[in-house]
Amino acid sequence: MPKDEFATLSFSEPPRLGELAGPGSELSQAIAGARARGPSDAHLQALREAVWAGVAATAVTGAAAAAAHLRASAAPGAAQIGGGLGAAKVVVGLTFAGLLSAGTVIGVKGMMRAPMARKAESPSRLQPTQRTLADDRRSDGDESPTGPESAAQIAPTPMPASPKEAAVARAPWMSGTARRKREFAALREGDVPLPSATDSDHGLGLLARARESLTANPALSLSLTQEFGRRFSPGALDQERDVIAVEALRALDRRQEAIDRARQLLEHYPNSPYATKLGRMFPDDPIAPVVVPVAPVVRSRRQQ
Amino acid sequence: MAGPRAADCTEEDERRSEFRNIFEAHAPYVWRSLLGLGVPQADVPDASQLVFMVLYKKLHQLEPGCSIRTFVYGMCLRVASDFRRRGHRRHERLYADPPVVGRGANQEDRTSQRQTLLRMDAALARLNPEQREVFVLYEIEELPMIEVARAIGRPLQTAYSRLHAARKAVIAAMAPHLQEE
Repeated sequence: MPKDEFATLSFSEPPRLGELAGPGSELSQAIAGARARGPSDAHLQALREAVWAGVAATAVTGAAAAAAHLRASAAPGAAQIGGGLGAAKVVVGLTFAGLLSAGTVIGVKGMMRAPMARKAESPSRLQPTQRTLADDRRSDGDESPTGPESAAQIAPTPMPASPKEAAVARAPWMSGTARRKREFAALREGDVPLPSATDSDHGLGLLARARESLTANPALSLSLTQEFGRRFSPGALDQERDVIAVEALRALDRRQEAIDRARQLLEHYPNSPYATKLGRMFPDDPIAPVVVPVAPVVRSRRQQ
Repeated sequence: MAGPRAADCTEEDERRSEFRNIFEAHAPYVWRSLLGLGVPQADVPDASQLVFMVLYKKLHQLEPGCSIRTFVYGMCLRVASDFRRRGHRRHERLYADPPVVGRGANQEDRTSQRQTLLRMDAALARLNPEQREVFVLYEIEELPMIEVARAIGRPLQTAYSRLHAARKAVIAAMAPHLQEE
């Protein structure tokens, strides 16, 4: 087995537009300016007061009281700031109560757990500056069965070069600055593709190979997902890995294993963006988990 | 002896303490994100308040291992979408006043900064909402693409496609003013 150069999953993401444009360019200055703007101290203090007043109202009488609070007169100092916190226009048309009680899922798909599956968490989990997706993704206890081919038997496939690697290969004498300018010029012309799943990054490349092998060699595809799991899980691409594994199992006529794997995925991520695709793969076998809402009712966009 | 009522108070205190930490850590970028996502400036205070009120209510549904930042961004996207629709119906300009810029610059620099930001905001306003969300989250907020994909609830490749289209549009919109170093 080749020596693993990466201890954790890494991504070859495209350079930020501000970097490509150059530190002194108007575009980079515009992006930096957008990044630097924020509330004034007065805005922040007014927001803090309004939010905590709303929290207190919620604690006393629930969501309805919080909604009423938002419709009530503005919080102290807020009237001096454009619009005014708690003004009536906030709630009309936006239905704060509706967002909470009408079953609308707010926020990130694939991240909202079914209430009954939620376990008590220690306060330390909510130190936002210390947590990332990659740091805290739990192992999904990969129980995928071994395929007929092991990773060691996989013939190495040349990895397509990333755009950056291709640029270096074409003009190795170019300095970093010159290459950046050339990339930005190409970007302005619209002919530099962003990194795709065939990028040479180990993790993404492995998944790309697994995806490409699905049709011609699903057994190889399954082995590659297992290899990915051994090297890069738990990680941010576990869902993508699982979807490919489900497809490979189904192609290998291991239908029940594929169904079990799909159910496992959706139990872990009930609002996964792949729920619709998985549901269509098994129209006669319901794979979405049954959720018993605790309170309030949260409408899920899971597809059956 | 602590009864159920005492236990409820302790749990509520813990929840508020956690929420306070989250507010202090994320309030500035919630404000900034809502601006970038096209919420009319006059509405940003109310929109920010709404984001945090919904966050407070849904904190217990946060998935283990989920990035708080990505979770909050997801809420910003939803709230911004609602406020943008309301602003469009009112036919308001996006900004009554240019947003707060960094301190310490002289008058000429501040004027130049305001104009640059206005051009950027005008370029963002021309994007469709899906492209704008990805552009703001990746280029301005500097989230990794995988977190951007999670925040918008779409596969990674979809996020890349939207970013590509957004970049082309922003560059084209700002082309007359662009100069490379």
